[in-house]
Amino acid sequence: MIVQGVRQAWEKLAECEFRSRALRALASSGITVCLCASVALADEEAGVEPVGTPAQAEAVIPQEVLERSFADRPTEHFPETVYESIQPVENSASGFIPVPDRWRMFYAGKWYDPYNQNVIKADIPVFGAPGDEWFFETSIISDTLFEARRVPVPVGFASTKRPNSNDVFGDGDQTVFQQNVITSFGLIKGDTAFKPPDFELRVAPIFNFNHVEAAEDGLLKADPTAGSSRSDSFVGFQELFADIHLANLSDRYDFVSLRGGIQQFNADFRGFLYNDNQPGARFFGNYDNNKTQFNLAWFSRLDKNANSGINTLFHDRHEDVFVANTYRQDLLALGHSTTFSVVHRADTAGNQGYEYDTNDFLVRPTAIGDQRPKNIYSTYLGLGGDGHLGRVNTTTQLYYVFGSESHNPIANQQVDISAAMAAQEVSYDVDWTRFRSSFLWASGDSDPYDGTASGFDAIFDSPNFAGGDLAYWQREGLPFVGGGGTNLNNRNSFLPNFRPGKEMGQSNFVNPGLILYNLGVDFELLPELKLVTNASYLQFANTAALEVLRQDGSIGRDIGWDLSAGFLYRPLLTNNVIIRIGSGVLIPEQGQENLFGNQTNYHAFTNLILQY
Amino acid sequence: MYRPFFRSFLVATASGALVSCGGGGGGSGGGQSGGSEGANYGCDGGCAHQALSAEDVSTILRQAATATRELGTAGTFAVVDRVGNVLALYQMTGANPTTTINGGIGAAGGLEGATVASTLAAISKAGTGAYLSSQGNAFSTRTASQIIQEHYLPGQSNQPGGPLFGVQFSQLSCSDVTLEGSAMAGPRPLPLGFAGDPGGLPLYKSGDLVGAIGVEFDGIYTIDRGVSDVDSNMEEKVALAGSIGFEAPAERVGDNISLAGRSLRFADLSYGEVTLPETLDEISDANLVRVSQYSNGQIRGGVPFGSVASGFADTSRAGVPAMFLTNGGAARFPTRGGRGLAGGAQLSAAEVNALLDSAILTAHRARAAIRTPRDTSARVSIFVVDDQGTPLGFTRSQDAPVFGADVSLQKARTAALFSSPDAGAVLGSAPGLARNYVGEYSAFSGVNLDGSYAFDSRSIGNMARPFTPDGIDGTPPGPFSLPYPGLGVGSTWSVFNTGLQFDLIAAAVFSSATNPGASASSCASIGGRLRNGAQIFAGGVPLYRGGTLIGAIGVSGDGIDQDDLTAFYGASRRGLDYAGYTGIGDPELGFNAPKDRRADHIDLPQPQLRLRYAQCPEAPFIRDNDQNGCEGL
Repeated sequence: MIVQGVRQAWEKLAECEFRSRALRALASSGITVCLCASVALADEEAGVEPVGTPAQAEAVIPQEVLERSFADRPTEHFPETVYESIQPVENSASGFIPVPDRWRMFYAGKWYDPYNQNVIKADIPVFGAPGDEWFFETSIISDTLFEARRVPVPVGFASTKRPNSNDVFGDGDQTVFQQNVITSFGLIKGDTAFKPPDFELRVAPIFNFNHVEAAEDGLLKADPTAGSSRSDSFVGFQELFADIHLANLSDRYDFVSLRGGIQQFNADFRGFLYNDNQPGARFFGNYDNNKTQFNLAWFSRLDKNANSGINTLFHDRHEDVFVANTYRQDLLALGHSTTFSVVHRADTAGNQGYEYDTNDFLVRPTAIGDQRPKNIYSTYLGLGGDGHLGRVNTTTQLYYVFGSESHNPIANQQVDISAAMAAQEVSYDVDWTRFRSSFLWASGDSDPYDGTASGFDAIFDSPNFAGGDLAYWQREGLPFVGGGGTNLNNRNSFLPNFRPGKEMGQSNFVNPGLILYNLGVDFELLPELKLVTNASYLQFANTAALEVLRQDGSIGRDIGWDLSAGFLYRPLLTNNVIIRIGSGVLIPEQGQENLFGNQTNYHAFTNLILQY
Repeated sequence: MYRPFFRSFLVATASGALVSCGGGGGGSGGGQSGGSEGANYGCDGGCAHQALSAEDVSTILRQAATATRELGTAGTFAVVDRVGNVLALYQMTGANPTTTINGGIGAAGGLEGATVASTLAAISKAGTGAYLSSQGNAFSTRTASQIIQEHYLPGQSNQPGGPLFGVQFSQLSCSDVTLEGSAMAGPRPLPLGFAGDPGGLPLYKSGDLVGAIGVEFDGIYTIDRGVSDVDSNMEEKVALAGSIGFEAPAERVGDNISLAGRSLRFADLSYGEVTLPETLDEISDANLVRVSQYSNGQIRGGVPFGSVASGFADTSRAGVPAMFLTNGGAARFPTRGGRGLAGGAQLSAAEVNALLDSAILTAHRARAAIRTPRDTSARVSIFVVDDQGTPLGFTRSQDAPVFGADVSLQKARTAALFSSPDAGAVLGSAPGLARNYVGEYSAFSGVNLDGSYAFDSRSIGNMARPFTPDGIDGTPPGPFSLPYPGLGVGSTWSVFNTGLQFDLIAAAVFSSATNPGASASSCASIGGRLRNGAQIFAGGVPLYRGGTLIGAIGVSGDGIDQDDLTAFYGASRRGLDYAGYTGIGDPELGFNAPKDRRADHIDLPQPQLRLRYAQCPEAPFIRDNDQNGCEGL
């Protein structure tokens, strides 16, 4: 694996050396599928000082210094850098050919070659004096998704696609095409790979095109005459931040940094609570040889575009998130990290009047219950763990949330929030096979009218748990047909919280909650090929809120079986080419049959990720 | 934007401490509005019927008068019983004698801008509270406002119109269902139809609906245009005060009932915000108002619902608790056959009986949409008419809301007329139309209104909305509607000016609103085929035999999809078979229209637009997982 960019090199080095997910959470770039890579470069580079002095700057570099000829392969060229005028000093004693500076220890490739020394991959400084170098880093990621699925959908209300549509439920087959191109540009100052950068400026525009084909009208746009297909595109910023390295706290580069701007942040190990790219200010760092890390952060969220899920440029979501958390390595056991967190959210979108998405659907307030606007003030107390206890791998997350919704539309009144969730994954590796067992509980509300909201909801969750986005229930959002203008659950979320899209909708703590039991096996079939399988059984924790909205007194708790499998294929053994193929079914049991009928829903997708 | 953590936390906590537990009687009951604390009697349609005594009515008037006086104003109050008998009509000295109709959107035409007597407004408001409610649901004029506008919920852009869009023009004094006269048989007419102006609330005794109070004093008769706020409406406050001691059970108020996932609004103020002094003001007989056909200027007690005297007599049909309309004992709408048609195609009395049996049985199996407790049977009113709109029979579930009696007949007649070969000719000949509706239909559909297609009241409703498609702001009006204000000139749409529906009955409505007692012999200017006026929301389905229109069935009561289910499934082969009438009706279709002639088969010129025809609800039957009850019918 060749390092792509000094910053990423540092991150990946840290990741692999310290085996620390916590650090990854701290310094995550947020735009790549993050897998551990073997990093050899940084150590080799460490300690090599630039050669030459400014006094030699006038001299001309002999051609033989800048290139090297071979009989059996093309001539190699040394990179030209800001130091190109610096004369090398021949070391005849060693017999090695001298190089003018340490940036030329490796041979330069073409500008498009990320595997060799490349000035646009921050392998070589672009300007700055020795010891004060500035690097430029760029990357491009293409993420192409094709997905076929079946979700329960209603026929159009004002107009239907077909005649004889005399029942509520229609044809739920849909296909989705999503193309994202993420470009990332970084300007980094620092002594590069073996310590954190002193300063970083990063801009990551994202370009999206999406196309959906549905089988009923009125699903994709509020206007049913807009038909059953929709194409849209959107441009936004995935990252736009400046990172200032405030101080080093120790010889081993324990540090404190301040990062301001649009940045990725995940509040826990698995993305159960808040995992988003949002503008904010984050003071973070580590100490005690990186055994403790911390974050103090404030995010003022931007609204998102409904069809792409990308941040809008300037449209305020009117929601602030405050995070204080710490990670401690080797707590409880060697190789087990523990995190404590306090997260507060102040959602004041209720002061803003009605908000519609780009398809003209109401998203705030949620089109359920009495539909009055609301503000939410909620505080989460979190305790999580990740690592291994002997040979048993384990991940744990617990949250308790309290606070208030100024007016919950289902409860028709102000409610006090008191809800909790617990998630645990245990796995055991046998040779190239990993056996997993997961359990998740999100509390449900037992009486919507009692003034207490006890259904757990997150801020902006995007969990990687129990099959992740391979699993139907987590990947697909199900429209809450017959229960209002909203969804039962949302894409990339477990929580049945009646939000009309996780992207724009507000949290709602009067909800049925969820209980999930999962067994899975991962097979490392080849170094390049991994097979992930999952079987989950899902239940609502409490159906009271469902019964209120559907005006139906007999909705069962059991949602059904969620069976999924997927391949992860990395033909080059790198992350430069990743192919994912996945499929899942949701086989209904009583609760889902009561809500949506006895149809088995499915999805199948393929996902190609190309990275430069 | 930035709210410091500690501050917002303190604010949140402080506001939490101020939580009031509104309407929370019996461990249930949500929010802002709601009925009396703890007053849940568990009545789900089976509780014995009671009546307001004259003394009760007097108490209600004194409470309302006291509350009004404490507000520093004077008002007009009507108290009615469940079937609309005006038990008292009281106008405080100095009260505003008139009120002006205003839909709030700058529309012109129809009833917009008309000034009417406050007494008539008060009667309509009280009647609305009584007629929309039952032992299973307590609705108010505010609820009515929520379900009759161009969007549901009102104020939400690009959403289809209210489920009961157009119901305001029902219960009219020109109707052959709502009775005038000195007997106390109901249902009685409401001079302005249904009211959406807050200030009309139902009255209950021990969980039984016994009547309603209507309050008018602010001089404007309007609707609530937005539901995202919490109004502080003084007429509503006085109505709440008047109803103290007769509050709706907390578990039955609209706030606890979800219609399409949206709860229905009972009142924006709660009883907690209403206080009365220990000593109530006295009322004066001199302030009791006499209005011809409505009030004799005295306070009287009401009649218990379900008694012959009430006009709704209990019976049973197909094993289901039922009612028939009566005026002295005999059924007002006895089951009979339709007028003779070529080839003897007309409905026989036996077939009408089978249809009524099948329909009421379907409703009995169906999950009610607007009642609590949940999972109780839908309660509806059902009329069958022949192709000329002549009533051939009537039945209704016990405790179905009263309004459905008149509305079910409107729906049946509307479906029959619009599906008739001479529909275009008849409607086009009506005087005083603001628009060439029939011509607009031809332009809209590419076909003439000549019986080539079967229209149910849902598809007619699709074309009677101010936007096409329904609810999409800025689009042109349906062919039977009017332009939304600002999008057209001349007569523009409002809930008080609905287009063809209103134009057909305009003369009769103006007469009723301004000269009570001189009611027209027919609401619609075109005569008996729309005797009690047209209705433009779902629940009326035309009936056919071998491609010949032979009549229609109209259903109204417990959710429009349930209305459709009751009519469409009830008239279907599947419904008739379930009721045991295997030999009656077409072997495949029952009495439903041939599929290719239903309105949803019209190939409209506008791309991607299609009319609807009969929409059955999700999970239609109680304790049954089948989601597609009407598939293939």
